[in-house]
Amino acid sequence: MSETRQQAIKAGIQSTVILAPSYLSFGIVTGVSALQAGFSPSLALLSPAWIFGGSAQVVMTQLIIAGAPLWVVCISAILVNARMMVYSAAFNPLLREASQRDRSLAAAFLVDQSFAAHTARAAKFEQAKSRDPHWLAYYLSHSMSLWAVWLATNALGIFVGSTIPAEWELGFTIPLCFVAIMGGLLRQNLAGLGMLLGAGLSVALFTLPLKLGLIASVVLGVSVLMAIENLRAKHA
Amino acid sequence: MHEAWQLWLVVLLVGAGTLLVRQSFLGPWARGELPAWAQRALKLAPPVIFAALITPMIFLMGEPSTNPLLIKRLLAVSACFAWAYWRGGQFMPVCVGMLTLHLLKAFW
Repeated sequence: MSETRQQAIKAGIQSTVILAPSYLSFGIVTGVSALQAGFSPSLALLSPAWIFGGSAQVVMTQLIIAGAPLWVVCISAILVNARMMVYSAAFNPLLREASQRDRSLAAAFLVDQSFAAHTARAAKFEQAKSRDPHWLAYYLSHSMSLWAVWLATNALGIFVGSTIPAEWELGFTIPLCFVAIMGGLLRQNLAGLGMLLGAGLSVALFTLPLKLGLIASVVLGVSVLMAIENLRAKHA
Repeated sequence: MHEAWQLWLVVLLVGAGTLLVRQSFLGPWARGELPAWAQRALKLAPPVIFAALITPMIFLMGEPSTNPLLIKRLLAVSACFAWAYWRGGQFMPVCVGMLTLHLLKAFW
């Protein structure tokens, strides 16, 4: 597997092209829901560019629409993105020798999809027992082009979203996008139980004041899972 | 309704918080590693977060939950989930879910 830097950059963009269709409906509905939350078109465009995280953007706009206090909106949305700390920590040893500019650039464009693509590529190279000198070029071209696609699909929602007929139920693709991610996660350790806990707690805590239900469900659910893991480790 | 500046502030703060999360172990200040317990918690969190996020959405979206649409939505969600579990991918499961919803609406 000898690959030039140019080829690695091209491969990164190809990975983006493959993902673009699934970004399309999600980006459109995210743009539409920003307008529903009362964002001006310019703010609705800044949001995907600056936050670059579909789930946090959806949480933010849905909670604003539901009338949550703005501090709860901020904390909930940032909590949803907290998972990216794991990716940041995973990149740390790989980028120890890299320049600070490269490290910060890699961090700025971190999202679930680009981290997953990087992991898949690393596994492939390891299987072939070869080094991957251009992994950063691949990762950066993939995640930066994903950013551009995310911005473009949000823009599409902002500017033409209102022409889409309501009977299409495009809004329903928001939960479906997350359901698709969850289907893929089900094989992970304790994931099925985590989903049941999240679903049950979110309904049970839905009437919590100040729309604190999401934060409370996540904190409680994860605590229960960690307790179960601890018990398992003790018995093993 | 909120003032425009309040909404701008929310977007700026959420983006700044996300930036700190992303840079947490790669920024100029980054040293060392995530403590083991935090790594565990963050790894266990995504299924809980996503389920807690969408369940109220599915049940409370638009009309009251007694609406006959609810059962169609639940079937569409199941189809999407099953496809994602067995076949993987992102785009196809969403298409399968939407197709299920529209077929149920048209013929049932």
